Amino acid sequence: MKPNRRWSVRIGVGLLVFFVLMAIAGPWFVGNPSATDGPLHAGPSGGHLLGTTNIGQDVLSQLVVGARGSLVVCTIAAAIATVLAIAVGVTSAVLGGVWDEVLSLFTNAMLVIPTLPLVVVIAGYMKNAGAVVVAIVIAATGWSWSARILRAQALSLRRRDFVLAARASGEGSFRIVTFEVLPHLVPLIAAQFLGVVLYAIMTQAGLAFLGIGSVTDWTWGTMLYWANSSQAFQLAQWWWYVPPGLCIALFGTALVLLNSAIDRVADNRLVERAPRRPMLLRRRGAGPVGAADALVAGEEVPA
Amino acid sequence: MTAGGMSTGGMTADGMSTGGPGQGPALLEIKDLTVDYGVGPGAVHAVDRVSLTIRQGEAVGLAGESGSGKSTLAHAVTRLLRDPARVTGGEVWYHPPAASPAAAVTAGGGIEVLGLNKRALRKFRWQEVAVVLQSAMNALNPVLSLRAQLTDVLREHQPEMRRPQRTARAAELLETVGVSPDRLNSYPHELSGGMRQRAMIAMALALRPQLIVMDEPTTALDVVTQRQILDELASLREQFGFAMMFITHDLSLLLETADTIAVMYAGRLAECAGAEQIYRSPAHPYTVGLLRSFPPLSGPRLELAGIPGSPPSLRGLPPGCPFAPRCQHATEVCTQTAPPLAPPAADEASGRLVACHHDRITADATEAAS
Amino acid sequence: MSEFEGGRGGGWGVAPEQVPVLAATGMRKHFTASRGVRSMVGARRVVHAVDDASVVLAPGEIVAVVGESGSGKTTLGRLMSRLELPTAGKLQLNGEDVPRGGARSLRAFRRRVQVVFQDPYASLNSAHKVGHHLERPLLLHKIARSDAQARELAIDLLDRVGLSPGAQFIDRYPQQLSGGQRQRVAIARALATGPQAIIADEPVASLDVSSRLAILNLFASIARDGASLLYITHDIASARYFADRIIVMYAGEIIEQGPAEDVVSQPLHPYTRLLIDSAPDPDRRHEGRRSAERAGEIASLITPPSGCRFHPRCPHAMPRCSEQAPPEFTPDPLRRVACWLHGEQP
Repeated sequence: MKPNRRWSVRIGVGLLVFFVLMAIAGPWFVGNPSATDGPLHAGPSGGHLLGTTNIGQDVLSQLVVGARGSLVVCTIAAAIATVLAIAVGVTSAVLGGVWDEVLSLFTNAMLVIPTLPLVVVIAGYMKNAGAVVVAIVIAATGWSWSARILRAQALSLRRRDFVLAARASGEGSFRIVTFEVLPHLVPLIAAQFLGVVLYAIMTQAGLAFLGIGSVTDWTWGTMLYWANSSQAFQLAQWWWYVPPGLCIALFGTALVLLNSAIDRVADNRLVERAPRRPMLLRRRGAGPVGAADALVAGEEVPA
Repeated sequence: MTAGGMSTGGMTADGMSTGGPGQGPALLEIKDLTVDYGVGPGAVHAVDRVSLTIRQGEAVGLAGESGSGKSTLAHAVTRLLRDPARVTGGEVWYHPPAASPAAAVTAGGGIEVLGLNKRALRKFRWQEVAVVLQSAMNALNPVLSLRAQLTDVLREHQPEMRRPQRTARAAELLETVGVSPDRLNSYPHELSGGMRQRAMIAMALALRPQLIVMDEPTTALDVVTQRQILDELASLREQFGFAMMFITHDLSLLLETADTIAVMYAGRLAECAGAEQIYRSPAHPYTVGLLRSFPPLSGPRLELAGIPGSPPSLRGLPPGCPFAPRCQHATEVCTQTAPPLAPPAADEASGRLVACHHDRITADATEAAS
Repeated sequence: MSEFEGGRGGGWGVAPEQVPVLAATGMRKHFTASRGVRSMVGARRVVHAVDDASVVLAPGEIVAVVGESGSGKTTLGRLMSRLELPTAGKLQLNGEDVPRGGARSLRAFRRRVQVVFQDPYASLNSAHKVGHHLERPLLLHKIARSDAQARELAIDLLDRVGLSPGAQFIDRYPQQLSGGQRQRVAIARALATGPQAIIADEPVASLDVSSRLAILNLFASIARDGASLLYITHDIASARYFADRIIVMYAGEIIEQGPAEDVVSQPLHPYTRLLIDSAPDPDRRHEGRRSAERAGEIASLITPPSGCRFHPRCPHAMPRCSEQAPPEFTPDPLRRVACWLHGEQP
C-alpha cells in the first residue's frame, strides 16, 4: 500500500478502537450523566472537563455513556441488517428463477422508499421507543442496499465453474450458498457491515435530534436534542454541542477509512485487475542511438 | 548483412547474425535482450539474454508455453512494456530496407529501437513496425465505426492525405484482407470475431510496414477462420513482402506457416532453426517433447507422451538448463551450467542454433511425426 | 511404440443386447435472447442452441463431440449431465428416464454421471483445500462413512490421477497447484463417486500444450477401467487420438457420426471435410495454399439458414439443400451423416 493509504488505515483503526473502548469501559470512569448536581451552564473546568448543561449535568459523562448508547444501537442495527442482506441477497442470486424475481422486487421496493421519512414515521408511532426498537427500525430500512450489492457479487460467483461443479457433484443449494459462495463474500460483507454502521449512526443521531426514540436514553444524538431544545446553539455553549457532533463525525470518518481499505481487499480477491500504473518507460542509458536523432531535432524524453 | 552500408551501432562481434538460417538482409536484430519483472535479487528474468534476427520478408515463428517469455519479448521489441517489466539489457537494432521512409533519414545506418525518443518512436511505430496483439479484436473502439478507426490511423501518420483519399485507402485495405468495403460503416459489435481480427490486420497494414509483430492472432478464433486468416496473411506477404513475427503456443501452426522457428523456454531461447529442420530433426529435447504433444491427423494412432511436469515458475529457477528437471537426457552438467546457444556440433554450417549440452539431433522425432 | 488402445467398445456404440449408459434422444435446447422491452413486443428472439440431437454412450466407450464455438457442443454436454434442462427430448441413464427435479431427486444420477470442466482455475473453489473437493462428494453420496475414511479415499484418488503421494497434495489449496495438477484434482473429484460416465468439456483447452497429452492419457486409462467418456472439444486431432467414435456438430445439429479413424480419414460431410482441412498439419506444408473460397461465418443460431444449416458455406450445395433439412443417412452400417450428397443410398 502507498504510505498515505497506510496512514489512513491506521487513523481509522485508531479512532475506531478509541470509540469502542470509550463505549465499553468509559462509563465506569465517569459519573451519572443524569445527575444534576453541577453548576448550571458552566464551561469546561477542573471538575467538569467538558462543562455542564443547563440543568447541571456533566457533559463528559453524557458523552461517554452516550458513546455506549450510540454504538450499541448501531451495532445491533448493522448486525440485523447484514443478516437480512445476506439472507435475501445471496439466496436470491443462487436460487435464481422465480425466487430471484420475487426477492429482487422486494429489495428494490424497500430501496426506493425514502428512508429517513419512513424511519421518522415508524419511530414516531412508537413513543419513547427503546434502543432495540430504534435499531430494528434502522435495520429494516438499511438492509436493502447491501442486499443488492451482495446479490450482484453472488450472481457473478454463481456463474463460476466451481459452483456448477458443486451442483454436478450433487450438492444442494443451501450448502452451495453457505460453503461455496459465502466464503468468497466475507470481505464484501465486512465492508457492507461497516457501511450500515455508518448509516445507522447518522440515522440514529438524526432521529434522536428530532426527538424520536427515547430521549432519556443517553446517546450522542440525544445530547444534541437536549442542547438544541435548551438553546445551547444560540447561547454559544459550545462545550455542550460540539463534543457529541465531533464524536459522530469522527466515528463516521473512522468507518469510511476502514471501509475503503476493506474494499480494496475485497476487490483484489474477487476481481483480477491489470496493473493500473501508467506505462512508464525508463530511459535507456547512453549508447549509440545511431541515426535516430536525425529523425528528430534532439528532444528530451521524459524519464 | 544490412541493406546498404554499415550500421553505426554494434553488429555481433563475430560478424555472424544470430538467429535462424534465413537468407537475405537482416531487418530486425535482437541482441542479448533481457527483460526483468521487479528489481534487485528478487527480480525475475522474463526474457533472458535472447538474440534473434528477422530478415526482410521472413516469417519468424516464436513458440513457447506459459512463462516462456515470448509475449514479453514481443512487447519489449515494440516498446509496449508496462511496469513492472523493464528492459535491463541488450539492444534491438532495426535496419530499414532501402525502400522504406526510414532509410532515407538514417542514411543507411541502423536504428536502435530501445533508445528512440518519443517522437522518433511514433514515427517508427506503425510505419516500420506494426503490432497485432492477442485479442486484438477487442482492441477496437466499440463506439467508433471501422471507417473512423482506419482513417484515424492514416490521419495520424500521413497528415497530408485528404479525407476522400483516406476513405478510399481504408476501403482498399479492407478489401486486401478479405472484408467487403461496405462494412466500413459497421461498428465492432456488428462484426464477427474473424472480421474484427481481419480489421486489425488491415490497420496494421495501413502504412505498409516492414515488419508486423503478431501475438497469438488466431487463438481466440475457430479453426476454420484461423485457416482463412493464415492463408490471407500468406498471400499478403507475397504481395507486399513484409516480414512477420508470429507468436503462438501452437507449434503445429508454425510448422506450416513460418520460415524460421524459435522455441523459447523459461525466458531463454532453446532452439532456433528453419521450420523444416525443426520438424524433421529437432535438436533440443524440449522441441522434441513439444512436437510429440500434438496428435497427428493421419498415420498410426500411437500413444504420445507429451512432456512430464509443467513449465517452471520463473521465480527461483535452478542453476543450469531450465529444462533439466523435465528432461530425460539430463546429466549433472545440465543442472550446473546453463548451456550456450550455439550451432549443433553435428551441423555447424546450417545456421541453426540450439542450447543444449548434449547437442542431440534425435531421430525419434521423425518416427513420431510420420 | 505400441498401438494405442482407446476405451473398450470399439467402433460402433451399443451392441443390440447392451443397455447404453447414457442415452439422449431428440434433445432440443432453445434459449430466449431477451432484448429488454423489445422482447415484450413482437416475436421473441430464440437461440436454437441444440436441435434434435441424439447421442448414445455405451459402457467403456469414448465418444468425442467435435465442433466450433457456437456449434452447441457445450450445451449438449450440459444437457446430458442435467446441468441444464432441455426444451424437449429425453435423457435416460441405464435405460431409465432421468427426473427433471432438484438436487435430491437427481442424487442417484449425479453419482453415476460426473463432469469435468474446461477451466481448472475456475472449477475448483479457491476457498477450500484439495481434500475438501474430494471428500464432499464421498460423504454426500455416502461412499465414505466418516471423515477419516473420506480422507483416506481422497488420498487414494489423488494417487490414481497421478498426484502422488496423495497425502502431500490433499492439504494444499488449488492456487498452489499448476494448471495440469488442478485438472487432475478435478478429474479425481469426478472419479470420487465411481461414475459410469464422465462428461469432459474441453478438459485440456486451458492447459499448456505439453501438459495436455498427459491428461488425455489419464482419461484413456480411466476409460479402460470401465467408465464411459463423452469428450467435448474443438480439436479434431485430439479427438482422433483417443476416441472410439466421433460426433460432429454444426450450428446446433449433429451432422456426422462414426468411428473416429474413419471420420477423420474419410469425412462424409462437407463441414467435416472443412474442419479437417483447416486443422494445422505440418505434413501438408508444401501442398500450397488451400482454396480461400471458404467465405462465410458460422451460421447464426437465432436465424439459422433454412434447410441444411451448412448450405450457405457448402461448396457442394444443391437447390434441395436450402429447401429441406437432410435426415440422417447411413451410407455405411457404422456411419451416419446428415447430408443430401449421401441420400438415396442403401
